[in-house]
Order: sequence, then structure tokens, then C-alpha cells
Amino acid sequence: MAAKIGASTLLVTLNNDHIAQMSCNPAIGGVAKGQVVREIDALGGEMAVNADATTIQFRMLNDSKGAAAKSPRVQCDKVLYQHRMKLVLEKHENLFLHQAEVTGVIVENGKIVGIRTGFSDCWGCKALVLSTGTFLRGKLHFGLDSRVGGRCGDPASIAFADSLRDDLGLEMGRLKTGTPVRVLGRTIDFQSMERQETDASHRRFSFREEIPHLPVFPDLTLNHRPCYLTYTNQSTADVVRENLSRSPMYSGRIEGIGARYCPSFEDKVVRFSERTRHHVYLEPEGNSTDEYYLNGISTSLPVDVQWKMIRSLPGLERAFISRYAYAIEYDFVYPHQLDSSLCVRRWPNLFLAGQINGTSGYEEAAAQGLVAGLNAARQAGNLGSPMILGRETSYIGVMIDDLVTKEIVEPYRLFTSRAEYRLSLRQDNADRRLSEIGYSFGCVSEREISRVRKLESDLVVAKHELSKIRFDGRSVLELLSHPDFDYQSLGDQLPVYSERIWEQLVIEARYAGYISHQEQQVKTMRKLESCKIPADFDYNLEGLSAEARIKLEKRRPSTLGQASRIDGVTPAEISVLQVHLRR
Amino acid sequence: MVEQVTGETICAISTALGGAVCILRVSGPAAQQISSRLWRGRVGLLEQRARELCLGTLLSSSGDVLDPSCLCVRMPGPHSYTGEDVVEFQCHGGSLCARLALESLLAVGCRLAEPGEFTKRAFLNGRIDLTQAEAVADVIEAGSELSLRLAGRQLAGHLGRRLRGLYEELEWVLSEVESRMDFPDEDLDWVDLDELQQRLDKVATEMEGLLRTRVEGEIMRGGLSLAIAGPPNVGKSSLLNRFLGRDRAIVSSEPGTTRDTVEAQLTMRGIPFRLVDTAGIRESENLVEQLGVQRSRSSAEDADLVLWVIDGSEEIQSQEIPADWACRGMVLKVANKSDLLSAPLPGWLMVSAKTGEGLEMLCDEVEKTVWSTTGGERTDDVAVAARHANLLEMALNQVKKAGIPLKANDWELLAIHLKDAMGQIGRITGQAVEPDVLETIFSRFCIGK
Repeated sequence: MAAKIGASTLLVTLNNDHIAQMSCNPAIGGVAKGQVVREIDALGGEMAVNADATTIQFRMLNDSKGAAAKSPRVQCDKVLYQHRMKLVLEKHENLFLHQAEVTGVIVENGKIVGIRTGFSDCWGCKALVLSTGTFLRGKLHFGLDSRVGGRCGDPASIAFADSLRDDLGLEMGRLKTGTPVRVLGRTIDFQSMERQETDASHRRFSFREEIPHLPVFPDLTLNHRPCYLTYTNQSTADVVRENLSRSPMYSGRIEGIGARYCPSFEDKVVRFSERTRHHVYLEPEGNSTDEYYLNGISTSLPVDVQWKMIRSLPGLERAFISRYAYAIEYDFVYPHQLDSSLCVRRWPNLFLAGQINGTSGYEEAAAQGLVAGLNAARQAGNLGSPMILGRETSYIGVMIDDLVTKEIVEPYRLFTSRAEYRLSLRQDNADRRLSEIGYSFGCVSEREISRVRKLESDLVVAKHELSKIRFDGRSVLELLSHPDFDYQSLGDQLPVYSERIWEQLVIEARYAGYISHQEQQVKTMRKLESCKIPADFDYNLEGLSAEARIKLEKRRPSTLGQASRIDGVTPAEISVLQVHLRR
Repeated sequence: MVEQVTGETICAISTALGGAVCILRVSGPAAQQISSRLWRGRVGLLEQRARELCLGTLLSSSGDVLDPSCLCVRMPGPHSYTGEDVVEFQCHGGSLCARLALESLLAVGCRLAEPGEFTKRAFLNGRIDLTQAEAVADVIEAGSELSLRLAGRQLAGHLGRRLRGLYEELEWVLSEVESRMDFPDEDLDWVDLDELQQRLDKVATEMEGLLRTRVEGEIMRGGLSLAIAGPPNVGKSSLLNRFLGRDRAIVSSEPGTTRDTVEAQLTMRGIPFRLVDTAGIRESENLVEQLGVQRSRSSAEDADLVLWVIDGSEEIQSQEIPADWACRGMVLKVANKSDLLSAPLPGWLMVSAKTGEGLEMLCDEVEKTVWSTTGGERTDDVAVAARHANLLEMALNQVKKAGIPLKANDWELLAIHLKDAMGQIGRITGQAVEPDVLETIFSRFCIGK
């Protein structure tokens, strides 16, 4: 995004061939994440387009539920996904790929002025974005056997972790995540498993009109593939129980905090011992590979146990493990040190994105990368104030606000339940919510913005026309709000509109009452958000509890709205702040 | 979650309880509109001249007369205390009247003001100068401390337990709802829709039960005024002393000994009373006594409950209550000096202030009258106050509305009603207003890759 708005951008990475490598699921999207991918697309990002170009299965999760719950998810060809993205980056104007290990930050006169690499190269910069993934002081666990590494097959980044702590004085913590085994497809007996097919409709992620094909992928079409479902059984659980003492989690070797939504299989067995079976999805990793990803059985048990576990599953009795499962621990920077532009408050030209901020997930990382890259370039080029997305605009806004106001208790991922304005933050209207914002920051093309503006004006016209057409004394626009009303049954009595127009009209009509109620809440929140707190504000005030004072000083919220969302700050204390800020 | 200066219209009783006159203040954009619904004056409230005190009738939200001679003043913003539109009612100070008036305001769209909120609005609207700012912060702080202490006391009690139970039950249902949306591909053990509806019904029933204790809660918290009235020299002061178990009032056989009202605090059957002994009511030449009689009449008029006492042994005395007293709802007829009497007077409660005979029965009767006229039933020690009832009613409303999206499988809409209801309960108990539903989901369901 930095290169897109004109900044001369250097991208340094440990291995150019591992750019956009899917270290875990070969899938993009999912609940809340699918919404984010469409938001990235609406803001001019590449993720949706890249996923669409390499999709081997598309599913709309929650398709039978309400519009606010629907989330697109695709399985991608893992290899093509990363190769295509690498090519996009290589051919991008203003962007320069470079393979090296970044070993330190160069600070002069209290300001970051560049980076140093393992080749003792120095690169100067006006602004720096870090997205270190799981590489900072990464440590892999296979049972009680642990080794240093940033991902299986890749080295860890140790010197740089030291530099962040020692040179920049960042407060750092440790998190843990894990990945399951991969098995060879030809050794799986799919007959005994349930199939999960791709959606029949030919939907895709991007709102943009056509996929701009790259020269090396001319008219690439991929066969869509099913996923398969099998279940663990009593003997799988028994294998785990017998070997719990050899688990690095249960023997206390892992100090990093894991995610509750992403427990290892041994966690499931221990915490939900009454359940006799757990499901396991087999996801194809692509058309260009025969490996399958076993979703649901992530583990850090020793490799000999992994064989026994896998072979106890129906259909996997003869499965051959191509890659072992493992847990990984890594350093992250506590995100309370950031502001909403993803800039480190203490180092105003340093921006952080992705797992370094305590998040997990490709989509969460990509969204932060977009915001951090854009804001770094704006700062470097003196282009004006940063892009800050509010909670009411997007899941991206919800996530960043959560990061700067809430404690990190586990790797953070998005859920729809985190968004208080869920009814408005839908995957179907991401372009309508964000394109204008993206355009004003120069990351959305003229072509895109005119498409969205035309859609808006068509919607106005359609609403006007439908409010004039009446059946039984009620306008079609009113009738649309009834769940039982089927506009299609009226056939040619209605004007012809595109599918998208009808979709938007129906959803808006159905949610109308609820959304106007939420808009009231948004107004209240905006009032608090508009009340800025100076960066040097003195919290030593009568009427603030010690707890609130410490938390406020630690996070330095930039608005009263943010302050109100910090756990432990009471409404009465917000009133006290409000009073003092008026002075 | 945080209530700041917004479009909300707030109200509160802005005088200390127990005074002869009570001021109810309403402030906010809808102050005039809302207040006009409870007001019947010579002209409508909206037509009445600004900043002019007008006499009229204060009505309850259901249209009953609460105070037939109430004063009302309308102060459109910005020239008011808070800088917003303000309406003030000055009504009689009997605790029930003011509290019912407050409840009525809440019922027609006001929110109860937080501690210091009028002052805060005044400041934020520029009506108070900067030097007062710190004082405002102190007021808010003091207020929140007070409310925290109060909340703490209630939370420890039965009411807190029941409210927390309701909150947890709603959170449980919410975790069912949210996990259906956030984990569609997981193989989770969800309960069926009937069970969800049954749980919501149970919550609604429990909320309705709590709401029935509302008036009772007001009584338990604020107390009632109980006036002892009647002709002179029937032993009213002796009865007061007997109630108190000590000599508070001077007693003599001389009629008209009590020239002024005598007050005392008393807890009877767990109900706090402000006991008022009045001068005997008779036509008198004595100016001082005449004044005393006047005061007696007005304090008896303000009382929530009147004991009309006669001398049961005196035959010539009129045994009827004067007509202007009989119209009051809560008057108990008491015949004193039963120790001098052979047969009870029909229709009168017989007591002897001298021996204490019949006092228990009188207490029973007082208690029964209090609860019967308020329509409340005593259950456990639970009682909700007006502020609580206001919030609880909103919560109940949401729980009832939740049934429709539940039937239609509109999970995202159902969640809105549930969160709203939990938010209202959270505001009563001081619990986290943003539920950590993910926490509940992760502890209940087995989730993950």
C-alpha cells in the first residue's frame, strides 16, 4: 500500500520464495475474516484478488443465516497463492524486494533512521513497518523436543528480537500457536469420509469487475475440489491421554499463551473429556500439490504419537504424514504501545502489523499491513493525517481499536461478536462502507470509485421507483422488509435491477429498524471519539482511581471514546476526564 | 456503554427526602414534551409562559391524580440550570407521591439522572464557570462512590443474586446464539430452539416477579409517613409513646396539650415509618392551638397513612371521621382506652395506649394496609427501587421481543435484544456492560482446529 500511494518502498524478507506462504490453513476468509478480506479489497488491497485467482473451493459460511452472519471463505492453491503474490509484488511500481535477515534498527538522535541486515548492509528510511510473523525468537516444539525456528524449515530471527527490546525498549511478550500434520492425498481413503463440496454459485471475493490476470497465469482456471470430514474416536483420545506427560504444554515447557479458539487436540481431550469424538476436516492444499491439511487436530505431541493419532482416524489408517504437527512460540510487542494508526507512540516513524501485535490469522495481518503501510508512507511523505478506521466503519477498525484498548490475553482473532455494529459491517457492503475512504487516501482507483458511486446512485433511483409502486396499498419498498415477501414472484411487474441492487435493497429493508437504532449509538460514540485527549495529558487527577490512572497512562488513549473502552475505567471516571478536558 | 451528554432526557428528585415540598427536575431535549404528559393545568404545559410558576394537577403515567395542587415551571434552554430545556414540578412532600411521580416520568421516557449529572450537564453546556469545574468533578466522584457503596450493599443481597442469575442466564443464551454465527463449521452441542425459548420465558417471568416488588421497594427504602390524628385528649401522644416504647411527647389529661406536631422515627414490622403526632383537631379560640391544628391538618394531609384515633370510652363523642378525612385511602380507625371499655366498638380497632392491649393487632393492620394499598407482596427480602424498575422494565421488554427473531432463526437480531437486556441489568448491578460472550463460548463448547 505504501508503494501504491507513491512511496519508494523496500521489502526485506528472509526468503523471497516464502512471501505469502500459508503457514497454516490453505484457506482465506471465514467468519469475520471473510468480511475483512472484502474490506481489504474495498480499500485497494490485493488479498481478495489473489485469493480469487487461486481458489479451488468457495463457500459462503452461514449462507442460510442472516446477512450479517454470512462470511465467504475459500480454499486456495497454496503454491499458486504465494507465487502469484510474489509476482505482483515484484512487478509493482515503487516496490523493491530484497532477501536478507534484518538484524537491527539504526537509531540516531532518538529517531529511527534505518535498518541493518545480516550482510552488514544499512538501509536508510523515513518510516519503518515491521511484520515479523512468528519469527521473533521463534521456537518450535515437537513433543519435548524443541528447536529454534521461525516456521518449520525456516530460521528464527533472534538478533532482531534483541534489537527491538534493547535498542527500542519495546515491552514484549510471548505467544504460542500451532499447526496440524499434512498427509499425502494418495494415502487417504476418501470413501469412508463425508464430502464437503464447493458452493454451486460462482461467487468470489473481490468486488472489482475483473481479475487482472498476470502474464504467467494466463486464464488460469483451477479445478474446484471438495474438503472431507472424518472424526476422531476413543482410541485417538486414548493415545493422547497415554502420552500427555510428553506434551510440552502439559509438562510446562511452553510459556507462551495459546488461543482458546484454537486449542491443540490434547487440550480438547483434556478439557472436554466427555466428548467421544471430534471432527477433522481434510483440506486440499491445492491442485499443484497432493498434500492435505488436517483441520481440527493440531498438536505438539511427539512425532511417534502423531503417527498413532492420525492412523486411528477412519480413512487415515494407512495415511502417510508428509509434515509433522508442531507448536510454535514467538515474541510479540504488547499493542498498548501503539496508537490507532498502528504507529508505536514512542517511535513515531515505526509501524507494526500482524502477529507482532499479538494477532493471529492471514486476514488480520493483511488488514494491519494495509493500514500500517499506508500510514507509514503518509508520514514519510508528509501527506497529512493517518488513516484511522472507526469501529463503526469496519472489522479492521474494530480490530485495531481492540488492540490499542484491550489486554492481549491470547493471540487475537476477529469474531463477528466483537463488532457492536455487526448489522452494518457486512461482507456484502464492504465496498459501500470503505471505497470512499480508500479513495480519499489515494489507494482506490478511479475505475473502482466510479463503480461504487454508480451503485449508490442506482440504489437511490431504485428506492425512489419502488416507493412509487404499490400493491395492496403498500409500496414495494415497505413490502421488502417482510421476510415472507418475494419480489421475484412479481416478475415483470417490477423494474429490472441487477442482483446486487436487489440484495442491498432487501438487506437494508430487513435491518432498517435495527440499524437506525444502532446509528443512535454510533452518534453517541462519535461524540466521545471527537473528544481528543492530548498525548501529554496529566492523569494525576482527583476522582481517578489508581487502577484507572495506571491503565490510562499505559495506553494513552487518543480519544475519550478509547478511554471509555479500557477495561477498568468506569463511566464516572470518564465523566471526570470529560470535565477536565473541557478546561 | 457510557452515558454522556446525549439526546437523553433525565429526571430526579432534587430535594432531600422528608421535606414538606419536593422538587422533581427534568432536563433534556424532550423535557417539555415528556412533562406535559403528566401535567394538567389551566393551559397545557407547552403553552404556559416560560419561567412562570403555575398551579395544576400532577398525574401519573396512567392518568391517575398524584397531586391535585402541584406547581410547575418550564425553563426552555439555554437559559436554565443545565442549559437544556428544564421542567420542574414542586409537589407535596409525602414520600409516595414524589416517588410515584418519579416513576411516572421514567415510564414516559425519562432516564434517572446519575449522581451529579445535572451539574455535569450545566458545566458541559457552559452554564458554570471554570472555577467550578473541579467542584463538579468532586460531585461526580462523590456520587459514584455513594452509588458504588449502595450498589455493593444491594449486590451482596438477595436482589443482586437474582439479577446476576438473570444476567448469567441471558449470557448463556447469548453464547448459544453467538457460537452459531461465529463457529458454523464446528460440530457443537447446541440445544434446540424450544429450550432457548423456555429459558427466555423463565427469565421474563422472573423479571416480572421482581417488578411486582417495585412499590414495596420504594417503601422499604424511603419509608412512609404515619400521622396520628383525631380529636383532642383521646390519647394520641400516649399512643405515640407506646409505639416508641418511651416518652417522646408530653402527655396530660388537659385537652390540647400537644400544640404542635411531634415527629419520631419508628420501624414497625420491618417498615421504616416517620411517625407524626398531631395536635388534636378541634375548633379553638387559642391562636397557638389554632396554628397547631392547621399544621396537624397539613401534616396529616401529607401523610401516607393516617391513624384516626378516638376515645373509645367517651360516649358522646362523634365516632365518625370528619368527611374531609374519610376520603383518604389510607386511614385506619382506632379507638383508644379499650381498658376502660367492656365491649368493642364495631368497625374500630381497639387499643389501650395505657396497657398496650391491642397494639399487636394494630401493627398487623398497619402492615396489611401498607402492602395491600401498594399492591405489593412481600417475598424474601427482594425489592426493586424506581431506578432498578426502570431498567428492568427495559430489559424485560427486550427479552419479550427476542422471541420473534428466535422463531425466525434471525440470530444476529436475537443477539441485539439479548445484549440490550444484559446491558440494562448490567447497569443495575454494575456488572461489566460488555459481556465476554467469547469466554462463555470457549468454556462451554469445544472449538478449534
